[in-house]
Amino acid sequence: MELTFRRIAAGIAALTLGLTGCNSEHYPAYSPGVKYGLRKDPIIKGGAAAKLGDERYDPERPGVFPLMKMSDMQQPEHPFHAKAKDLSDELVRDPTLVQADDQKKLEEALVLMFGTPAAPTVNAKEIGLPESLIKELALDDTTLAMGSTRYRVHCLHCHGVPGDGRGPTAKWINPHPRDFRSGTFKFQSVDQASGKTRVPARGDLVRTLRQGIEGTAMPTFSLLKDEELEALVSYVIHLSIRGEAEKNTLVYGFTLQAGTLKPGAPVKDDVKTYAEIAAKRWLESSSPDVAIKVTKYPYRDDDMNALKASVKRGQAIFTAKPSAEISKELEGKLKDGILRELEDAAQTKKFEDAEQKKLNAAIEKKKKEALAKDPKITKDALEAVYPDDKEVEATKLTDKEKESLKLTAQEKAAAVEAGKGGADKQAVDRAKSMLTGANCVSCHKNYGREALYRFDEWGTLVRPNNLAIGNLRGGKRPVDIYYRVHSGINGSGMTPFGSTFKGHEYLIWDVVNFVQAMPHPAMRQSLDLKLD
Amino acid sequence: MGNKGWSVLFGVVMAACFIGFAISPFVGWWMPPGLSTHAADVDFLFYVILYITTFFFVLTEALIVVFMWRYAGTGDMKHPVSETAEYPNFLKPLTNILHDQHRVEMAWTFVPAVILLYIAFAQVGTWANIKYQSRKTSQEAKDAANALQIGVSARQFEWRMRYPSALRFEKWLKDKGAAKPDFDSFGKVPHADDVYVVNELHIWQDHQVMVHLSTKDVIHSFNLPHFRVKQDALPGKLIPVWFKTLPESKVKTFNCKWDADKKRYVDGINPDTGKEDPNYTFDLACAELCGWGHYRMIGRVFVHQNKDDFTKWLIRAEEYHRQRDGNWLEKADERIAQMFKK
Repeated sequence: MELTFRRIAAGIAALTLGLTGCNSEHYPAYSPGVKYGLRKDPIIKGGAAAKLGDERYDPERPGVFPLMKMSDMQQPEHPFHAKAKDLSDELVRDPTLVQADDQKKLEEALVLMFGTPAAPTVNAKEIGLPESLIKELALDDTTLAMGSTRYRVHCLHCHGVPGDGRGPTAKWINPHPRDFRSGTFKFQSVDQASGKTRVPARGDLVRTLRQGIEGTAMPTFSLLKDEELEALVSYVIHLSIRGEAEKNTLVYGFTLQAGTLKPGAPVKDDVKTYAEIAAKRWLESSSPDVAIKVTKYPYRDDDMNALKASVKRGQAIFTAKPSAEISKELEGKLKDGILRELEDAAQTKKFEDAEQKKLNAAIEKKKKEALAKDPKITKDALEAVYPDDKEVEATKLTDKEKESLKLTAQEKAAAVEAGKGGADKQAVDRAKSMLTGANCVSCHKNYGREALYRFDEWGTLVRPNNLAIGNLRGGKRPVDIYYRVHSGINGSGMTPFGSTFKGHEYLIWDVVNFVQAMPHPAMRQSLDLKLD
Repeated sequence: MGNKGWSVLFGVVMAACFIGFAISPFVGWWMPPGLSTHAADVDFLFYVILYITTFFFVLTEALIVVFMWRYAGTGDMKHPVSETAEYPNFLKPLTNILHDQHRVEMAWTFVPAVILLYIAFAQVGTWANIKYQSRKTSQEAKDAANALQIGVSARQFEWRMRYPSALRFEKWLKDKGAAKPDFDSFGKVPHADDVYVVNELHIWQDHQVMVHLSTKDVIHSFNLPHFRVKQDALPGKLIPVWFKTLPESKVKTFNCKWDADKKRYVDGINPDTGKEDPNYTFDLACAELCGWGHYRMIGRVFVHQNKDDFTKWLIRAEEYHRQRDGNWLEKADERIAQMFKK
């Protein structure tokens, strides 16, 4: 009796202490023993997902759990099951095939360069990065430590300790939380149309944190302080660089020999190389030079007729079925451009010829000097004589010379006349490629209402968006839709279309206007827009 | 201490609960001040119920403690009740009643019934005033026709707000007759020019607000503690929620300003000092356990001083939302300057 009484009294005291200890402002750090650990889940190799092909359309289809191990793919309900015969090392790499001592080396190298969750770092000295990069990307230890505590509370349960998108709550979330380890991020404002896949700028990640992603489980974190959001972004970049270094080492640093993965070079060197490459990608994207250059919106906001025509054109581009009228209009515009290009080409040629002439003169002069100095110079040595950089620089045309070399109206007319024959055909071809090149319906079948499932880069089945509903994950702002059309959605199979409209990016605004009008019946009616 | 220890433990815990409760208004653990027009009515009902329950709580707990002390067991199974056990002196006059179980039962049926009936009837008017437009007086009905409409869509774990564009909003105010169908259908039909913001509820002082509440997934509850608003959001239903802040003459509730450096509005500003003050942070909380992230489903209420300030915000939010290039802010400022030039 006495004992029970004491126990209950002690319980109440503990409860009181526990309750008063609650403080929402307090962010405890990871315990020092927690490790990022080595990657164990299968790596879908680049481009492999696309080779697996489309899946059937089924609105009732349940989501699938993220891939945790190779044997997951052999489960009958897993979408990979039917394709299991294809899953060789060509397509999927199984990191568990690395031998124990190599695993140890890999882990040691990663801890050395990136620390632990409690003490995260990007070790510039070990990786061989300039200190300025750490400063520019705000990857210093203090910021990362702050980011890690916030990440532990707000992000970890979905995005996982190493940023693998496989935290405890991630299993039940469809679409899956982002796996930072591939260095691929969907929604950003960095130019992807030039053939290079880039990581997002810091601002893009901050915006995602602030706005959340509607239609997914990613909520807004706008109540966190600005410096907390910045620290979180730094920490995510840290996780992404670490994950990418690990992934690329496993994919490119190892080869499959007799059932085990053997490293080609010392593991540490590989990690170092790929960490450096990954970090430099982030540095590149932080430069404003690689941001998408958004073409000025060509219409007035209150001009309903222009909007009507624009939406019509947008639909034509979307469905790749331009009417004769729309084609003709664009051909006219393109033809003007082509004629101007002919003029430009003639002008450039004139400049180049003049410059070459100057350069030739300089070379001749140099050779004469050499001959005067040493009359017995060999033929080969005489051939090798060339003005130094400074002298070459001097042969460049000055602005004044350029002014005097400007084409006269007569010369311009002559240039246009000479190329005019091909211009018509060229305009028709180019207009056709622009109006049918994007062919959005090939994936967004029936405006996305009957889109087929396909595998994304992470090996998940995803569906091109049903645009008739208007739930745009990358953001509802017109500029967000412009970014998506121009630079695609990395990893998802939505490719950049910026180069399709090269030189005539205003056409992207037509697609944007169309996408924006689509989900609103009243708007469709006022714009005479029909979706079927 | 023996078996009497239990009565001491109960006595101490109950006394601690009571004291904790009694001091909480003085140490900042109480409800925030009520800032809406119906807050006083809600608070009145709250206090009525609080006083009634406190009275009976103290009475019953005191009796439990007294009886536990008095009739504590001895541990001896042959004489389980101590020898002093008899009615305490203060209960002696009641002996007759206590021995007549019929009368006791009548008493504890009749008294709570009267109290419950009183509470049931006392709250009808308040409930109707908050919920039913048909009960509104002519001035309030006029307010309702001018109400600021906001579509609020809850989802795990955030609030997404939908506002009419500034243009549509002005049209509603200018030409009520012609704009009425549009005004009435706002809650049901999203428009292409609607403005979307997340977790920020913008209103202005002394103006009727109508929230069209819906949810995209599970049951949530739209709770504005400062404005005494609490309404469940049910899947598949569009639920209207009305409230209005008190006029400036009674209490200043505007709590936000434009921060030119951050390029966004900041809340939690004390209207008198212009400085940050946690008393002026008005939460929009979810009051229905909706999942693991329920705790973080918090938005903020931004109260503007007047309609002009609100319109400035709406134009800025709209230009951000309709952004086609980097200079949304310049465009917004231009529109604001044009609108307020006279």
